[in-house]
Amino acid sequence: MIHRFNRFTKKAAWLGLTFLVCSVASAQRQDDFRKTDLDDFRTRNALRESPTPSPNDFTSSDLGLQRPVDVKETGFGYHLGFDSKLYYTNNAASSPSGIGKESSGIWENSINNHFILGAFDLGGASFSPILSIAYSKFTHFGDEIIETFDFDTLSFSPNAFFQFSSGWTFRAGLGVMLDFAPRDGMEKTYQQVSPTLALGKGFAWGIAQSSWELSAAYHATDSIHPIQDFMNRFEAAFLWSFAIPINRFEIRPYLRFAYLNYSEQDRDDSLGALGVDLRYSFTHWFAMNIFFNFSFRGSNENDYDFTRFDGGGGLGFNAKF
Amino acid sequence: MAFICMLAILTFSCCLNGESNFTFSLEVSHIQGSSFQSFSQNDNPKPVPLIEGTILTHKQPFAVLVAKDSYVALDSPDKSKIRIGQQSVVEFYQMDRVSMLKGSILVAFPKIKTIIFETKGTNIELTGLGTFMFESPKGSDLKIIMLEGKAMLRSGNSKLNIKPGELVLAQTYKRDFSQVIKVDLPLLITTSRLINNYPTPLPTQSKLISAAKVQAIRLKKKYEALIGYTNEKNQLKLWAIKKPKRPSQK
Repeated sequence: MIHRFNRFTKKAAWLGLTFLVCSVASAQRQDDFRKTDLDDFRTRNALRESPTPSPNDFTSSDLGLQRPVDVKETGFGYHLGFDSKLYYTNNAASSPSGIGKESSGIWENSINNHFILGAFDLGGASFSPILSIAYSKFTHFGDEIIETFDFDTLSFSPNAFFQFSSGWTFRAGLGVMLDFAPRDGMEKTYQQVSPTLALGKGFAWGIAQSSWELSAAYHATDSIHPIQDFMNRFEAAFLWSFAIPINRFEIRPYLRFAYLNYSEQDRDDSLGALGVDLRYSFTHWFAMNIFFNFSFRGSNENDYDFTRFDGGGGLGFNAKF
Repeated sequence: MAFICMLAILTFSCCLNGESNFTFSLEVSHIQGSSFQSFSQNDNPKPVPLIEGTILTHKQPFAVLVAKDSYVALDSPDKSKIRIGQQSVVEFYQMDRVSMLKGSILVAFPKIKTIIFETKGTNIELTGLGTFMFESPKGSDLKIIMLEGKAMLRSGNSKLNIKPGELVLAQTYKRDFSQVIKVDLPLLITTSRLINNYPTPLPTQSKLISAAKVQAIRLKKKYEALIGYTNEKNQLKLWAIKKPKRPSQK
C-alpha cells in the first residue's frame, strides 16, 4: 500500500513537475531570439550581396565587361529550403535556474519558402515584396520531461524590402508566428503578430560581406497564460551579421541585442545572442554547417533571467527557381 | 515694302541662329591625359589642347580628340553629362547631333531629349532620358548599351524600346537593329572606365546602382561568355569564359 502510494505520489509529482516545467518552458522560450529571424535576415541580404567581380584586362573597351545574361521580366522568384539540425542545449526552456533549467538534445527540421514577388526600379531605389512561409519542428530528447518540450512553429511574414544605392535598406513587414504542441493534439500554445519596421545597411570588408539591421516591432500575442495578452511587448533590436567566404567554407558570425518592454507587465528585458555558423557548401544547393550560439536575458524581474548555450550541426538543401 | 519685310525676316532668322549657337556650349569639367578640340574649317588647322574649364561653344562643327589613356568629361547647361573614352574622336555638329568617328562615349540625360548619334553608315535617333554608352572602335558599327532610364531608338523606320541592361548593335547600312542582348549590369558598372575613371560620380549613379540591383534580383542565368566587338561579317564576337582547371583535373 505504502509502495503504491509512493508510486502514485511519485507519478503525481512527476506530472506536476512536467506541467510546471512545460509552462515555464513555453512562457520562457516564446520571447527568445529565434534563429528563423536570422535565416530570414540572411535570405533578404542575399538579394543585395552580389559577388564583386575582379577587373579583367580582357578588353580594352572603356565600356566595361559585357557578359550576356538571362533576366526574368518581373523578377518573381521562389526560394525553397530544407534544414535539419541536431544540437545540444544546456537550457532547453531558457529558464533562470532550478527545475526548469534542463539540458537537452534537439532535432530541428525546418522548411522555408521565400516568394520574391518581383523587383521594381524606383529610380535610385529598388523595391522587392517578399513573402516568407516557414514551418519548423523542434523535437527534444533526453528524459521524459524534456520530450514534452516539443513544439512546432508556423511563421508567415510578408515584407516590403527597399534597397538604396548607398547600401541602406528599409523593411516594413508583418510577422505572424504560431506555436503548436505536437504531443498535445497540435494545440496552439502561442500566437504572435508583429508589425515591424527596420533600417539596415550592407557593406563589404575585403572579402567579407557585413550587414546590420535596426528594427522596431510590437508583438501582439496570445499565449496559454490566463491573461491573454500577457506576453505583448515592444521590441527594439540590433542584428549584425558577417559572411566571410573562404573557398567552399563560409564563416558567419552574428550578434543580436534587443530591448523588450512588456505592456501588460511591469517588465523590461534585455536579450542578447551571439554565435557563429561554419558552413561548407558541397554544391550551390547542398551545404553542411556547424554552429554555436550563446544567448542570455537580463530582466528587472529576476524570474526571467537566463543564459543558454546551443551547439550542433546540420545539413541544408536550398533551391532557387 | 517687300525689301523691308525680307530684311526683317533675315534679321529674325539671324537672331535665331545666333541664339541657337549661343545655347550650344559644353564645359570641359574633367581632363585626364591629353585631349584636343579640332575644327573642320581651315582657319584653325591645329588641334587646340583642352584644359579644364574651357567652354566649347558651337559656332562651327568641332571634334573632340582624346588620346590613349586619356579621358574627358563635358557638362552641358541642361545638366547633361558627356564622357568620352580613350582613343576617341567625336564630332559635335549641333547640340542634338553627334558623330562618332572612333571610340566610346557615355551620355547621361536627366531630362527627356532627342539626340542623333551617327557613324559612317549608321544614324540612330535616341529619344528619352537616362544613361547610355556608345562604342564604335572603327567608326562604323555602333554598339549601344542602356544603363538606366527610358528610351526609344530609331534607325530609319525601325524603332526599338530599349531597357536598362540591354545592348543593341546598329550595323553599317542596315536599317534594323541587331537582336537585343541583356548584359550583366553589376559587372558592367564595376568594370566600366567611362563610369569609374572619373573623380566625381555621375549624377545618375544612384539610378545605375538601383537598375543593377533590380537586374541582380531578376537574374535567371549568366552565360559563360563575354561580348566583344564585331568581326569582318558585322557579327558580334563572343568570347567564352574558361574556368581555371583544378590541379586534380589535369
